[in-house]
Amino acid sequence: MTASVVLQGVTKVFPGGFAALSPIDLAIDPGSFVAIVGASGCGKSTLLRIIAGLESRSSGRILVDGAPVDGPGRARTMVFQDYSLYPWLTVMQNIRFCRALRAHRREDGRHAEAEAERRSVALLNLMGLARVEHAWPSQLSGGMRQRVAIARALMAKPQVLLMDEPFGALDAQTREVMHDLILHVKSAEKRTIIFVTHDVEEAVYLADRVVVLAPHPGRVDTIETIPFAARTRELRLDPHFLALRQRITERIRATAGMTGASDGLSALAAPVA
Amino acid sequence: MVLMIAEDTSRVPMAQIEAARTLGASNREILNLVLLRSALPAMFDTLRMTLGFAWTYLVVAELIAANSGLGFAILRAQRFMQTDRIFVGIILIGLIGLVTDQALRLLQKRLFPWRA
Repeated sequence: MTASVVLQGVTKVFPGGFAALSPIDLAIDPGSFVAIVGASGCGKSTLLRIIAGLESRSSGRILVDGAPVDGPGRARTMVFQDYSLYPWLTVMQNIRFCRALRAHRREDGRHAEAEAERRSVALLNLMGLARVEHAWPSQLSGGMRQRVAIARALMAKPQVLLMDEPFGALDAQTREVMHDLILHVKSAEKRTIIFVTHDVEEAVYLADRVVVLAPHPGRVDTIETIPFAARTRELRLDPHFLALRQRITERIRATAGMTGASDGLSALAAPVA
Repeated sequence: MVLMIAEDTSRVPMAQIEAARTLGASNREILNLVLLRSALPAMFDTLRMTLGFAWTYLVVAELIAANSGLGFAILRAQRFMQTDRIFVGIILIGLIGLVTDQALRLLQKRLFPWRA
């Protein structure tokens, strides 16, 4: 149930002529975890939304498992930063939401109900949600809500899991817990994951490869392969880890045209004086 | 009220709709399973508010032109200087308004228990 994703010359020009993405070519191996980072406004979210089919592309092709895709579909589910859960459904009902959709009932056949039942309970346990199975989303913390959103996206058995800054609204401690959880999910579910973030540490810690996008217009600047085998808390303090993180951060700064932080600060200070 | 309902619907978070879309929902399913469900509590709020307006307008209309109803009763009592009857009418109008509003509030709690 895992697939490769290939982008061939994908561009996006918004009405009015603003070029958000210049031709982007990218090949993502089945089962790999790719993080996309870049300065704000570099089009990383737009790129992810195009892969999801939520945003139209101006040209180019997207192949999932070798087959071209167009528009949104259950093979590419997405986890959003916030506000995507259905507040009128309990945790378990949210996770099972896709079972109410015709596309799933039709494709999965009649005998899939028991199997879906099993899978939803397995996901509930995998994400550590067993205690809050019957709670409303409004009763949960931000981290728990994102766990539900991830479980709901996995319930559809996507070939590719897309994540758009899923931990952006969480505090640092919760985020670290979620990082280890998502690595656990990756080894348990073995799905291709494309992850957009502005947090370089997060990207290096989680991904097999980190893609740096340069802005105006968005294009692939560099692709770093992350060599670390074991992803543990200690890795965050490893000199190689820190060096790689620093190198990627420098790349993002360079692509954004920021040579030093002082330029921006002096420009801010000038009108006040 | 149509405008207010339209506003309620447009306030449904985009992420809720897009999440359904990536899960494979059709447009009809998004309307029935997401948009309507998500906007329902706000629509109910709108209904509760507009019922207050409607009640006011009804009494006002009775005061101006009617030959039955509370507003008309108050007007008739005024004509015959029956001040006690006027106050009965006023208090009744207030009570009926209060009771319907509280009934709707209770119904709201029953219908939308997730809104803690």
